[in-house]
Amino acid sequence: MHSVGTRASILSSYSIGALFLLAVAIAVGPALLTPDPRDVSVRVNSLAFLRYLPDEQCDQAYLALDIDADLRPLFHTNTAHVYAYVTAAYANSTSHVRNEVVVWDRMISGRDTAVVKVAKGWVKYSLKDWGVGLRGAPVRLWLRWSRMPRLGGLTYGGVEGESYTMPSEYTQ
Amino acid sequence: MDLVGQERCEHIFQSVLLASLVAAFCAGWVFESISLSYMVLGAGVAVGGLLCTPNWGMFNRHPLTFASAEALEADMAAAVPQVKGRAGGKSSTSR
Repeated sequence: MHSVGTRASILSSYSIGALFLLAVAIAVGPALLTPDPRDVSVRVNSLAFLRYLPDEQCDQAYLALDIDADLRPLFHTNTAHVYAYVTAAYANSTSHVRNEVVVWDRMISGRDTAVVKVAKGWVKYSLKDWGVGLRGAPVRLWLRWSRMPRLGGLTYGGVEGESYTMPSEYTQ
Repeated sequence: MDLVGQERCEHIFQSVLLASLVAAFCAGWVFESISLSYMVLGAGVAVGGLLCTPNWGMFNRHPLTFASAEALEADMAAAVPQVKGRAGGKSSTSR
């Protein structure tokens, strides 16, 4: 610290340390201090059909969902986007014990579009089984989200919605 | 810059940096902008650098006093009986 040069060197190394500390604080702090969304519900509104696809040799169901989710708590300093998606999970497939399929998704880029209200919205991706295990299957719906930060790592979360039981016979 | 001034200078810069770090995080939180956050930190670094890099007068209020040549000679003469007998012994000088 005895000359201008050494002072400039030492002070700049302190400054770079502070730069790093601020980055860590931004990456960790807001995510820890803000609560997860609570006001979230998702349920099956109606089923268009449950059918067997002979070409692909699998079951296919086409659903409409009611989604009511306030995802505004996910938005803070360190949030760039939120990817919200609905997964349908069921267990009694003939070939796999645990199946989880994304049936609906949406990119949310700001707080002004973070209140998701979908009434009888047909799913974007139909629910297709690997085999013929959809009949009578209890389906558990989840609304999940992945928060894309500006600094730091992706974080995930989700809330379980109402479960739904598939009809025991094909509807068409 | 004297020794007391150097210590004071370092402490001042650390305080300015810490304060601007806290202010930067709070500003980023309230206005939801990471770039604002870094601008506040940058302003703190600029202020701290301006305060602490140049050799301001306030860091030179405790000048070192050096021993004069006469005082040094007197000290060495007084110390001769103690070093007697040591071949090439070190002369112990205070100050």
